[in-house]
Order: sequence, then structure tokens, then C-alpha cells
Amino acid sequence: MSAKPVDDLLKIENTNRVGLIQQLEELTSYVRKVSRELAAIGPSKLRNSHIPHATDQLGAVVEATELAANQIMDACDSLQTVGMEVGGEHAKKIGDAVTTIYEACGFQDLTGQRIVTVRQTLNVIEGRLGDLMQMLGIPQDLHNDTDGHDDGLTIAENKMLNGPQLPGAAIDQSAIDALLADMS
Amino acid sequence: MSVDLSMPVLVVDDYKTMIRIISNLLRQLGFSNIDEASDGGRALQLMRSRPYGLVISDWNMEPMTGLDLLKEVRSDIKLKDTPFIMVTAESKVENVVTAKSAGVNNYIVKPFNADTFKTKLVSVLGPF
Repeated sequence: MSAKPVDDLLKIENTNRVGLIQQLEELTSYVRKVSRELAAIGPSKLRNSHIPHATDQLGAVVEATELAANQIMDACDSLQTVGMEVGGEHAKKIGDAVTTIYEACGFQDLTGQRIVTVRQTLNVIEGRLGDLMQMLGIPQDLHNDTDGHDDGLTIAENKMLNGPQLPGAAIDQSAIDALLADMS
Repeated sequence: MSVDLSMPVLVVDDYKTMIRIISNLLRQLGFSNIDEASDGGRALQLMRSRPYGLVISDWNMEPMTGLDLLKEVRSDIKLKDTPFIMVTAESKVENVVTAKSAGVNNYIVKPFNADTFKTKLVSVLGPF
């Protein structure tokens, strides 16, 4: 059996090397493309602004529903007292109605738990987004997002649909009244 | 001149709960002729079909926001003098300034209580 000429072997090796280099170049090009596309979705803004904002808003929901539920139950306590003073059949009817309201106020607990789940999910997404950005070398700085087109949140802001503000950021009714009076 | 409590009032909000609350408050104050709309487009339809003595509208609605509705009302020669109160969770200064500049008569921020609601109605309609 004759050995393959050295030239042939070198030729095969070169072909393999060229093919390998080509594949590596394609892979590099693909990774760069994916990085660009990921950068275009604005991961910095998502991670550093939108997701934390959403988490804060959910926290405010929990606080507000808790406050409202407590106010409802306080009012129920007053009604219960009135019912007992009234006595008789009316007392029973008032008591039954108050009980129904108490039961319904349990919504606050259930919604609160669901919201906690959603917040945890958002935190996971935020973390994974950060890992992905780090892996692909996308800058973590908020101002480095290259996304130039409007997303739904930007459109909402442009229509001044800011939604309820977080505690401390909202102006209250008396401030609004003063502002309107100044503008009159 | 005293306020005619039988005048038609239009409540505009995409949340049924809020419509129920506001309608309830209006009835407690003596108003009896209350219509409801869940979006600005429907509200405009109603306003063009009958005259309303007062419109109470939310801001955050789609596709037509309460601000869009207000601007439409103020630019319509037949509707432009309709008293218009914004009742909304939008509590940034820019929202209040923009609404006032667009011609809102008063601005109530959510959450609000019955006393505030009545005070603002009185400031727009007169005592009742």
C-alpha cells in the first residue's frame, strides 16, 4: 500500500483549515449579529429602567390595595356597631352584609400574592438580561441603548399617559388646586 | 342661579368600577340623569346626540384619551362651553398644566373622597 503523497495530505489539511476558518468567521459574524440585535431591543433601558419601574408600580399596587381593604373593613366595623345598636332582624341583615364585605376583602391577600409572584418573575428576567448582556459584551449603561424607535412605554409617555405616580412622586389635590388657581 | 340637578351628566371611564363609584356619588348629591361612556369616542357620540350639563372624564383611556376628548369638545362649536372635569390618576404637574391649557374646568386626582368631589363640582357648577 503506497502512502498518500505528502502534497495530497497537505492539500486536505489546507482545505480543512480553510473550512474551519470559514466556519469560525461565520460564527463570529453570527454572534456579532445577535449582539447587535439584542442591543437594538434596548436591554439597558429594559433592565435599568422599565423593569425596576414595573416592580415599583406593583409594590405600590400592593400597598394601595392593602390600605383600601383596611379602610373598607374599618367602615364595616362601624356598620357592625350600628347594626348591634339597631338590633333585631336588621342587625342580622347588616351583619350578613358586613360579613360578605369582609370575605370579599380577602381579594387583597390573593392579589398581593399574585403580584409577589410577578415581581419575582420580573427580578429573574432582570437578572438573566444582565447575564446575557455581560456574556455578549453589551454595555450595561442605560444611555448606551441603540434602540431608536418608539416602544409602547415611550408612546404612552408621549400621550402623557404616565399613570398613577409612586408615593412621593405624585402631587396631591391641594397642590393641583393651587396650580389651577395660578393658571386662572 | 341654582344648579338644575336633573341636567344630564356624562361620566366617561374605561373602568366600570370607577363609573359606578362616580355615578353613585352623583346620585347621593342629587343628580338623577346620568349617562355613561367607556371611551372618548362613545362619549363624543353621546355629546353630539344630546346636550350635557357636565362631563366627568378619566384621562387614561385608549384609543381616545380624556385629554383628546377634552380637546375635541373644546374645538367643537356646539360643545365647547360644556363644563368638563377630569377625574384621573394622572398626577404629574405637566398633566395638570396641559389639561388646564386645553380648557378643563377642574381636575380631581384619584383617589378622592366624596367631599372633594362635591367641592369641585360646586366650583364648576355653582352651589347646590
